[in-house]
Amino acid sequence: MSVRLEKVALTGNQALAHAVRMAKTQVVAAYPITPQTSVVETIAEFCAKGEMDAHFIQTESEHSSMSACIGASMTGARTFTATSSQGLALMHEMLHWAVGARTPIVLGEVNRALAAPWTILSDQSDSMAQRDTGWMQFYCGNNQEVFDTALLAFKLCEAVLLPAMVVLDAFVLSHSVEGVLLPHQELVNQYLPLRETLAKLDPDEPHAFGGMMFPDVFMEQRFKIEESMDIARGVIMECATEWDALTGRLLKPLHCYHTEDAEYIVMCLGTAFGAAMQAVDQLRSKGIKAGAIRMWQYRPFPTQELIDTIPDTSSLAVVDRAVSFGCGGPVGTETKAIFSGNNQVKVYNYIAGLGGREIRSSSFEKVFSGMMENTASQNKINWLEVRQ
Amino acid sequence: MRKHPEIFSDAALRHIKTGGTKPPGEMTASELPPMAVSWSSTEHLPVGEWKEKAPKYVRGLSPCLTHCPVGNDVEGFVSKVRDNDIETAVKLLLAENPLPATCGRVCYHPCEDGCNRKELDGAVGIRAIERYLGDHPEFKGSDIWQQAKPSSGKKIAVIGSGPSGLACAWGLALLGHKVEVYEQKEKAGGLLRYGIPAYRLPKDVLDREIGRITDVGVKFFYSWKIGEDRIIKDMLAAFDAVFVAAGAVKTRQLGIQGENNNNVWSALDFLNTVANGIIPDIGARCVIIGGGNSAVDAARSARRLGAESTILYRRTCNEMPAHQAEIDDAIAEGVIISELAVPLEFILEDGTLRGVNCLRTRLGEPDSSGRRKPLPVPGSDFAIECESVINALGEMVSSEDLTSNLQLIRAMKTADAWGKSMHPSLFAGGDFTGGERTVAHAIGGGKRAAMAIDRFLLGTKNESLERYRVGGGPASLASYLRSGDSEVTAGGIRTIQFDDLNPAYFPARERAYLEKHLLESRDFEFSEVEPGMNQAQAIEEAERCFSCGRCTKCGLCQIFCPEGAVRKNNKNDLMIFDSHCKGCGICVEECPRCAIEFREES
Amino acid sequence: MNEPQAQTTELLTADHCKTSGGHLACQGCGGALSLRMALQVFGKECVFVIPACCMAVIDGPFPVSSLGVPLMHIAFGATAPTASGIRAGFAAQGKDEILVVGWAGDGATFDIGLGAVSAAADRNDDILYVCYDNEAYMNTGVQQSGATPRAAWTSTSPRQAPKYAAKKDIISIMAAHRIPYIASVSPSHPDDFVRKFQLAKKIKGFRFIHIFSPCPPGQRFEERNTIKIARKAVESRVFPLLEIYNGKKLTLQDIPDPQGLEEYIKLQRRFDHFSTEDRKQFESDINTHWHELHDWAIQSGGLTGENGKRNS
Ligand SMILES: Cc1cc2nc3c(=O)[nH]c(=O)nc-3n(C[C@H](O)[C@H](O)[C@H](O)COP(=O)(O)OP(=O)(O)OC[C@H]3O[C@@H](n4cnc5c(N)ncnc54)[C@H](O)[C@@H]3O)c2cc1C
Ligand SMILES: Cc1ncc(C[n+]2csc(CCOP(=O)(O)OP(=O)(O)O)c2C)c(N)n1
Ligand SMILES: [Mg+2]
Repeated sequence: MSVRLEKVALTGNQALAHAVRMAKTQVVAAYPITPQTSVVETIAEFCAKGEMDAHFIQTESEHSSMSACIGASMTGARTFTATSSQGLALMHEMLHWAVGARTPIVLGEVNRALAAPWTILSDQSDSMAQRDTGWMQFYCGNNQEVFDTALLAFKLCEAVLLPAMVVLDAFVLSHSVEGVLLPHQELVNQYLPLRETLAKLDPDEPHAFGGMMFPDVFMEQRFKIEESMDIARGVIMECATEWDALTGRLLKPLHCYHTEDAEYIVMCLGTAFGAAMQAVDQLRSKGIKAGAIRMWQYRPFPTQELIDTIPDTSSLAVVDRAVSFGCGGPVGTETKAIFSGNNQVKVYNYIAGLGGREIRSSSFEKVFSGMMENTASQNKINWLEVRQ
Repeated sequence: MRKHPEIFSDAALRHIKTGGTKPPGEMTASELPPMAVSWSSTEHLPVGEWKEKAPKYVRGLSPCLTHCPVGNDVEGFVSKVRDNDIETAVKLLLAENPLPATCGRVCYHPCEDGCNRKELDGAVGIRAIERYLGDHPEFKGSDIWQQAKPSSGKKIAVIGSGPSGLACAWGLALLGHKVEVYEQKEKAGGLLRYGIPAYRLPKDVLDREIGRITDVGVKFFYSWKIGEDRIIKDMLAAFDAVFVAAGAVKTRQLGIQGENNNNVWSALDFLNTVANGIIPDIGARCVIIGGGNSAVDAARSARRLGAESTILYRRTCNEMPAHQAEIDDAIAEGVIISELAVPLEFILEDGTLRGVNCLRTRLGEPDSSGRRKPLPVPGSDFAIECESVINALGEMVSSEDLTSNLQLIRAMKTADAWGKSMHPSLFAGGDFTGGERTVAHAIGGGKRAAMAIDRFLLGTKNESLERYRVGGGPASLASYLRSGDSEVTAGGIRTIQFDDLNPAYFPARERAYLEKHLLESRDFEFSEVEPGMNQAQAIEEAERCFSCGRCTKCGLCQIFCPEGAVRKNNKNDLMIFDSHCKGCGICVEECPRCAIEFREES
Repeated sequence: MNEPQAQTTELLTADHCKTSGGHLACQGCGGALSLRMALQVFGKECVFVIPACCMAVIDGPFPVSSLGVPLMHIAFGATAPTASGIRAGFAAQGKDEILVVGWAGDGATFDIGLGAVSAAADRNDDILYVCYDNEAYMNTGVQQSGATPRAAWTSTSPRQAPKYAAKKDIISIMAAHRIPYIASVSPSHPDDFVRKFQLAKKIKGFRFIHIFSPCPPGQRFEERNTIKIARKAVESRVFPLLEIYNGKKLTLQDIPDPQGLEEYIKLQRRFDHFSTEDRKQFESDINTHWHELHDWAIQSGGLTGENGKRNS
């Protein structure tokens, strides 16, 4: 097949919308919220123009968007929604439902901090707060990756019967234009065939879905979700490899920059990675063995990949753009847990970039120096650039 | 993308498609589907164990059944009319009663007095429906004859062809016996022909009914006066059994002066004469003495002959034993009722009747009949002028006319409810044996005697006939014919009262009212007063019937069962599926006709 | 009223599609009964959405289901949008003939799901939304809902702190959305019930059916009286039977001579504590509502008899 690529200037939100269109999504239910709105606006426009043959439902709330997605998905339709922040929080009940119902919904989540106080700017506390729902989560670093991840997510979700969030930072990705290569539709068709379902709402085979379960089976149900998350780790690799073969772009759980020999590593999710790499370059130029990691796959958590990536005797600072008050950053906490038995790897946790505060390369330099000069603490949460 | 067996295994899929046998609590995660998805219905859950009380279909008795002296399956034929199944209705009726056209006109319809509907908006017009069926020209005796039993070779004589004799003859014929009816008059019918006037019971109607009886093989011998032309003793020898239904036809004497005057008639003679088509000369004014049916019929007949007729009665209208509707009609036809008056003597001039001297009465304490006793008011004498007088004091039995054999007389007088006398093959019934003197009672007595005779001839003596009584009351020939209990004759069966019913399903619906053709002028007019119904009217009236106590398969119990536990079996009967019934009792509460009962679970 | 017409009886007693016995409803459950009756009208080509409520329990726990048609359980406030999603999913696959039914309690409809119901109605999504109304949150043990009549007992509106407001007028709320069809039905009136459900099944767009659904344990009456109470509710004007087309044209089954209110109240222990004042207020709430509907009917669709035939 001829692989004809088209480079188009798109915002992250538009890239996401294009992926949804090319995935031949059948039902989209959503509700507007800044900075997600242009995702569904673009989709609504595709539908209106006939460029996309989906049923678009604008609900009265995100709770209902997710409910509608669950309903649609239960018929066997390919289903998408998008939201941010307050919207995601309002969906919380239904996020759990989508997982328990094993509906492979893809959700575009544009990271925005949660109120109060009001803000529309980015941090990751909204999606991080949903990490226990059973949704898979992928944090994108650029608009191309947003597009690629969304297509991968559909394929993945439908294989493992779990929903997934494609997460992108507010404004930095959502509203910034980048060149995005859009594959030919046939290529997408090949990568992502029509959805097939084994159990769905069908009058010819009537079943009740989601009925009450007693303790004798409830835990097995939960175990199966966990098991599916495990299976997903492998499936993600398969999907990524296939996409790589078709497009030459490989999606990886961890994107590493100079980590092989690194003594000091910073790890973040999303677009802050650019600044992190700049800081690494800066330190490397001074002869310091610095490295940086961007975590793309957050759920299922890339435990093995982290163990394999982090060199022994190195120091690792996890920079979280979210906080679980009274405990630490979610990624930091989880990473610490992995290395808790390894006293050669020192793990630090930084909280940074909340509510849209910029994380610059100088910010990361402070993180590196905190590790190098031992001014950072491993035992407490390090609030970066906060006036204390 | 390949399928991941851990997520959705073949075993799990199989369960979903075909239902699982293994309890989910014993299944491994990989055998279980990834989501809560059902694979079986709730049918097997033993929710029936929750109940404390269980509904049961039961047959209750409608009061019309227990009230009917004949033992007609009243609710049965009425509901068949409601279903527009006229043929079955007629057959049900004829199986119990050979004289439906007659009863449909002259019966005092105790069924309607019992009818629960009267508590709501007037009893169902049962008599009119019966008349419609009785008049139906399409049904002959032979139709019902098909249900009859094969010939037994036994021969029974019936004395008297009044309703009692006719009913007995009919019953015996259906039971397979040869019957000979001996009647002193030229035609059959007894008081139906010679007592009840034609404007209430046209003679062609009666002829048709008797025709139906001859249809089934009954032989009639007219102008045979037993006691003169043949004596009972001989008959007892010649027949396997004898049934005496000679009625009560001797008029009670007034016991006052002038009674034997030519213009003083006995009611029965008068009516008999009229019935024979002879117009007696009663002059312009006629006084009728008495307050019973004969008095009223005589007065109305006199009106039809052109006379002014005055009923002289010693109590008030309220106490008159005649049927209220008849009294009302009589008044409407211009009959005068002179209440609280007794005749003292007839005023005669040269042997010509000129009038009656009377005395006023007043009402005293109740007497043994419960009615207030008339006491003469001294000095209240008055006279009524008239050209004729009809004595309608009432009729008496005269067994002496039948036989002078005192032993037989005593035997007959002590006949029981089944007509059995002290003489094993001698039976008696109807007016002749006392009790209530109505056509229906006479028929009931005749029918019971037929059963008793059959039992005497063929059965085991010890077997009680009581089991063929409907709710302990009237006897059912139909179930005797089937020689088994029917639903209505089964023991322990309850009669349904209005309070047992669910009136919610019976919206008010006025009883059919048919305009009567009352006598308007003094023209000679013996045509029928009461009109009959057409089929549509009969059905409409039958639709008013509640069918108390009998499941009509209306389906409400099924509709309203939250469990779907009420089902129909392959015989189309409703049944309650015990393992799903939780015993809520909605079916019991909602059944319009009290055909479901709540019983404690044992 | 009359015994049901033959075709009603035939339909409601047919075996082709109904809940299977063995379900877990309490004795005398008006909701379970209505569900069975409705299913017999719908037939097999339908899909149900049921939120948290008694019906979610009644259908049976995994792996059983009483309904016999596809059923999706969903969260308490999510019935309408889930049904909308199902409709959209089917539409995307060309399965327009399948009837999508949302079947929810009064709590789900009058309260937690009201916004979502409103939105689905506003979009005129092609679903049949049914609210079986037992006038409280029964599944959680009888708490007050927007459908609870004023001063009626519930565990959160005890007699010392009675519910202040009259029952929420859900019919007017729905009518304000100008949806194609609204009807109220009572299982005690099978002819009417069947006729309206049949009609609702045929109409496209958002249809709303409000079922009066007595609950013996929650409203505290003897199980056998379920239908009797439902009937009395209709005959006493407590629960008017009506239809509204496009939010405008209302036809009301006339009750010219209301009866049985006293007995309706007396049969249910949730009204046990009623003082004369409460009783008066209750009646006045009913009358107010009735006269509003009556006036509306006179101005638009008119009054009907029991059979749905227009009164002349
Ligand atoms: C005027 C009148 C009106 C009535 N109206 C009604 C009414 O509207 N509704 C109602 O229910 N009841 C009415 N009755 C009562 C009813 O007619 C009788 O109760 C009923 O006819 C009794 O029937 P039976 O067969 O016992 O006797 P009967 O009808 O009296 O028949 C007896 C038969 O035996 C015959 N017989 C008598 N002796 C001999 C003999 N020695 N040899 C041969 N044959 C003999 C007679 O000729 C007669 O045919 C009325 C009675 C009268 C008098
Ligand atoms: C979001 C949420 N809040 C509360 C509940 C608890 N809950 C379950 S059912 C129910 C009441 C249901 O009442 P209603 O809708 O009237 O149905 P019913 O049980 O009376 O039939 C409640 C409060 C829930 N399941 N979800
Ligand atoms: Mg409720």
